[in-house]
Amino acid sequence: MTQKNGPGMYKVEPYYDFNRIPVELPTCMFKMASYLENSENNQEDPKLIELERRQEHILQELKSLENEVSTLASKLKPSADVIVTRQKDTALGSVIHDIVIYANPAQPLLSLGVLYEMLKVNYRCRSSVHIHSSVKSLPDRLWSCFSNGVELSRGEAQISLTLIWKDVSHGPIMMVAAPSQSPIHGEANIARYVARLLNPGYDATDPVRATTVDHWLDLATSSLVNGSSKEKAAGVRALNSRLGRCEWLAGPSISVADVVCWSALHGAGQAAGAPANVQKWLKACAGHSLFTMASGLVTA
Amino acid sequence: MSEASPAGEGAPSKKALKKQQKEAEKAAKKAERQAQQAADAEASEGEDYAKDRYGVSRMVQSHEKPDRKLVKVSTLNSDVADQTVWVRARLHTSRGKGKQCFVVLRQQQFTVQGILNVNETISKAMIKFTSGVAKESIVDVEGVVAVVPQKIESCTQQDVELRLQRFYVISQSVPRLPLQIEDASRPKGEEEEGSQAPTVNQDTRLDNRILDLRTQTNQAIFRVEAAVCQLFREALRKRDFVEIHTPKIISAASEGGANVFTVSYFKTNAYLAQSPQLYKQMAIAADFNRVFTVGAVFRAEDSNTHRHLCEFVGLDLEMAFDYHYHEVTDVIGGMFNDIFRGLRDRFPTEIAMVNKQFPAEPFKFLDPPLRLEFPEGVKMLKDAGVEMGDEDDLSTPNEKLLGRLVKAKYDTDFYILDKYPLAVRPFYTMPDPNNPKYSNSYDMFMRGEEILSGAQRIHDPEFLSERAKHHGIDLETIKSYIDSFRFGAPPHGGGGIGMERVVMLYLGLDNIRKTSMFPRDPKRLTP
Repeated sequence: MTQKNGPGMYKVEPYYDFNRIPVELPTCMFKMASYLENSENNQEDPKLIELERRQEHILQELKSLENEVSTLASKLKPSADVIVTRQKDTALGSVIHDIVIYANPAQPLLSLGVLYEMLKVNYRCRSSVHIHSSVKSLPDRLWSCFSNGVELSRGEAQISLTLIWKDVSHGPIMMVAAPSQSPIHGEANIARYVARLLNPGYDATDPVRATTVDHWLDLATSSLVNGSSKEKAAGVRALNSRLGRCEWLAGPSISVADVVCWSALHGAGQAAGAPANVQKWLKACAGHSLFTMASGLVTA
Repeated sequence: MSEASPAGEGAPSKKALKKQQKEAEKAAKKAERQAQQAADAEASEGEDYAKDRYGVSRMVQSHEKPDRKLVKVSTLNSDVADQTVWVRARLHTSRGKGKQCFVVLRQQQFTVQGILNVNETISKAMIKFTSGVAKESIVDVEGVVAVVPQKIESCTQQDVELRLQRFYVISQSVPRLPLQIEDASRPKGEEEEGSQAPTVNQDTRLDNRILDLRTQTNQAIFRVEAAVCQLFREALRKRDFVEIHTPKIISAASEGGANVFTVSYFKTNAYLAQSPQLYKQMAIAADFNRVFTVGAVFRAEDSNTHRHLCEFVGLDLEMAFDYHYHEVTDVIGGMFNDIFRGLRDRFPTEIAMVNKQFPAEPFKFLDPPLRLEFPEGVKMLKDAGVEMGDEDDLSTPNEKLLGRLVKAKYDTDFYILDKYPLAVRPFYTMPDPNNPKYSNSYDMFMRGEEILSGAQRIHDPEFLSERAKHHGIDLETIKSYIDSFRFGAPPHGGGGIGMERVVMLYLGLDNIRKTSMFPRDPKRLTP
C-alpha cells in the first residue's frame, strides 16, 4: 500500500452522466390517450357550428337592440324608468282590476266621473254604484251618476270602478289591493293613481309636467278643499293668474290637475264667483267631452 | 236496611223501627218549635195586618174573570208615574234586608225593580214571605209606579220602579235551579269580585234549555230568528213568489245517496228530505213561476262543528227567469238586502240586547249587493299568499280569508261569488256558455261563511242526462228527476238558505246551537 494518497488510485467514470444523456422524467403517474384528440379527428360537428352561428346572431341582435335603446335614450331622458313601467302595464293581468272608492253622499266626488271617462279611453271599463249600510238613503242623481252607457260583464272588463256611498268623514278613500296597501285618502291622491294607471310612464316621460300637475293637485287639496276662506280665495287667485297665461293648468292639454281643481272649486262653492280667467277655463271644462257626465252632477 | 233483619223485607228491624220513631219525634219537635216561633213572631208583632196582601194564590183553574188589567213591564216608564198597576211577571231576584225587600220582576226580555218597605200596610211577615219566594216563580203584584232619581242600571226599565202593595204567587218554581239565569246571561270574561264570574257552558244550557231560553239574550235571538223568517216571506211575496210545502218523507235521496236518514215506511224504507230541491223544480215545471218554501231539512252528517246541524230550517226559493240567470242572483241579493235592512231598521233593540252578551261588529252590507266572480276571488287569495289552483273549490279557511279580504276592500259582510268552476258543482248545474270550465252557479257569503249555494239548473232533459252520465250517475236512479223536464220547463235557478246560519252570522254568534231552539246534532236528540 502506498502512503501516497493521491488524487486517487483509480479514476472511475461516473456511472451516470446527467449532462450527457437526457433522462425523461414522468410528469404524470399514468399516461393515457387524450380523450379530446378523438374529436379532432371527427372534423367539425354541424350541431356545434349551428350553435355558434345562433350565438353570433343573438349577440348581433343584442348589439342592434343596444344601439336602438341608446339612440332612444338620447332622445327621451331619463331612460331607466321606461323599462320598469312597462312591467307595470302588464300587472293589470287577466283578471279585472277593481278600484273601490268610498265617498260620502254629502260631498259627491265630482272628479271621479271625469277620471272614469279618461280610463274609458284607454281601457275596457265597467262601473257599479253601491250604498253602504251606514247610509240610509241616497238622492237619485247620485244613484244614476255612473249607470249610463252599456255595462260590460265582469269577465270582459279590464278595469272596474266600484263606487260605494258610505259615511266617510274625511274625504274619499280608495282601496285597490287590500292585503298590500293602506287606504288612500283624498281626491287628489285618487287622481294621482288614475293618472299613472292611464300612462305607466307618467313620472318618466315628462317630469316637468308631472311636477306641475302635482303642484296644482296640492293646491286643490290644501287650499280649495281643506283651507280657510282666506286660503280658498288665495287659491282661486293663483288659479286665475295661471289661467291668464295658459289654457290648461298643466301643459298643452287637459290633465288630472284641471279635473281635480275643477271638482274642488265646485265642491268649495267658489265656482260661481270666480274671476274671469277661471270662468273661461270652467266653461272650457264644461264643454269638454270628458266632463259631460260629471257636469250633470254639478247642475243638478 | 233489610240486611240486618232476619225476617227479610217484610218487617222492618227493631233498629229501624227505633230510628223511625226517633225521626218522627224529631219532626214533631221541629214542627212544634216552628209553630212556637211563628206564634212568638205573631205575638211580638201582633196580628199580621197585611195577611191579605200576600200569599200563594189558589191554582188558576179559570174560576173567575176578574176585572183586572195586567200591564206589560215594557210599558212601565215615567209616562205612567204614580199610577197603580197590576203586573204578572217572573221573580227574577229578591233580596230581603230587614225592613226592606228589593225584587226584580222579569217579563220576557224586560225587567223592572220592585220595592217593599215595612209600613202601616206592609208587615214584616210580608217582607219575609216575599224574600223567601223561590226565584223564577210567577207572581202577580200590585204596585205604584214611581220615578227614581237615579237610573237603575240593572233593569231595562231604568227610570221607574214599582212600590209594591200586594204580592201573590201564581206558580211556584222549585228553589234549586240547575242554572242561574244571571250566570247564563253573563258575557264571557266578566269579572266579579276579582275572579272570573261564573258562566254556563253550552251543554248545561242545552240540557236545561227551558231555563236558558228565559235569558234576555235568548229572548232576543229567537225574536231576530222569527224576524228573519218574516222578512224572508215579506221580501219574496213582494216579488210575486208563491209559498209551497214540499214532502219531507221521500222515496229516494234527493242529492246523491249519502247523508240521508232512513225511516221505516210500512213494509219498506223511506228517507227524510235533504233539501226540497227536486220539488221546487217540479213546481217550476208545473208553472208556478216563482216559489219558496220554509221547512225542516235533514242531514245525516256526522260532523260536530259550530255550523252543522242534523235538522235545520231551510229557506228555499226557485224561480223561472227570462234570459240570464243574473236575474235570479239579483232577486236573491235584493231579498237578502231587504232582510238585512229590515233587521237593522225594525229590530235594533233585539240586536243590541244580543250584542250585550255576545259583542259583535254591526253587520255591514252594500246595496245592490257586491257580486264578484270566482277568478277574482282566486286572484285575491293568491295575492294574499294562498296557493291554490284556478279551478279548486274554496276550502273553509280560504272562504274565511276571502271574507276578510273582501271586507277589507269593499267593507261588506255580505257578497255573492259568481261563476264557480263546473267541476266542483253538482251535475244539474248549467255550464258557462263562454268557458266550459266554469258554470252559471254562485255562492253567497255572510261574514266569510257560506249561507247559500245555488245555480242555474239544466232544464233540458237530454243535456241533463248527458251531464249526469259525465258525472258517472246511474240514469235509472234519477229517472223521475229527468222526466220532470220532459214536458217543457222554463229556464230557472234558485238556492237554499239555512235559517239558523243566517241568524248566527248576522248576529256574529260563534255557534249554530245558539240559534236553534232545540238543536239536533250527532250527539243530541233531547230535549
